Amino acid sequence: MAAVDENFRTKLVALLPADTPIEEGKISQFDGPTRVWFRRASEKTELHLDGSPGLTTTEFDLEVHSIDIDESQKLAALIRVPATRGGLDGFQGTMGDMDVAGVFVADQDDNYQPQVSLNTDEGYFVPALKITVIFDGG
Amino acid sequence: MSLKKRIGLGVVLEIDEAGGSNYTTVASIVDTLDGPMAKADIVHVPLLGDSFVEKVKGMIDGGDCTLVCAWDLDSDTTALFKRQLREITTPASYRISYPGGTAKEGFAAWVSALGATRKINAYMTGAVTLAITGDPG
Repeated sequence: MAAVDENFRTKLVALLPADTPIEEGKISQFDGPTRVWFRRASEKTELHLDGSPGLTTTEFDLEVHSIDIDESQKLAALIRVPATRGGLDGFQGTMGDMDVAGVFVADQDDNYQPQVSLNTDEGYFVPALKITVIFDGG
Repeated sequence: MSLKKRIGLGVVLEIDEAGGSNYTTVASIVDTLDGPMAKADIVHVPLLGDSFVEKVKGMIDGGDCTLVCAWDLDSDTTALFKRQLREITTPASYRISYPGGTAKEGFAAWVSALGATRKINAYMTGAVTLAITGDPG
C-alpha cells in the first residue's frame, strides 16, 4: 500500500482541474500563480489494550494559493464540499490504493500561519484547510 | 515480594464460552477493562449499650466487569458478545492475563449489558458489562 500522503495526492489529482499544480511540502518555482500545497501535519495510530493497532488518523494542512480570489475560493470549494456533492468532506471508500473510513474537512484555526506568507509572496489569497483522514493502517 | 509497576498495555481478556478452561483471546478491546468490582456485604451487629458500631462481613458479590471493544457486526468479538448476551444456560469462563506476569484472574460471568456508540468521526465501539457469578478471581 502506498503512503497515505501519496494516496491523498492521488485523490486531489482526481478532484481538481487537470492543470492544477499540487505539491507536497514544497512550492516549485515552475508552478503558476495558482497551486495547491499540502503537508502531512500529524499522524497517530490508536492502540488496543492488547497492543494491536486500531485506526490511524492523519491530519493534513492544505492551502490553495492564487492571486485571483475567485480562483482560490473555487478550488477550495471543490475540496471542502460534502462528498455527496463531489468533495472530500465525509468521503468514504477508495483513495489511491487504500480504503479510508472517513475524510473530514475543516477550516484551519485562526492562528494557523500559511506557508505562502513565510515566503513573503504578497498578494496571494490563501484558503487554508485542515483535512483529517481516518483509515485502518493494519 | 517485589512490585512490578505496570500499565494497561498488553492486558488480555480470554474466554471459554462453554464455561470450561479452553480459553481463546477476545480481540479488539479498545482501551478499557474495568473490574471485577467485587463487594462484600457488611452487616451491623451492635449490642445494646455499645458506643461504636460493630460489623461482620457477609457474602461477597463478584460485581461487574466492564470493557469497551471495537464494534463491527462482521467481527468475531462483536458476534461473541451478542451471542453471550443471548446465552441463558451456561455462564462463560473469563480470564484476565498481564504481560510478563504469570498470575491470572479468572471468573465466570454473564453478559448483562451491551451497546454501541456511533460517532461520525470516531472509532465505533461497544460497551460490554459482564455480571460475575461466584468467585471474582
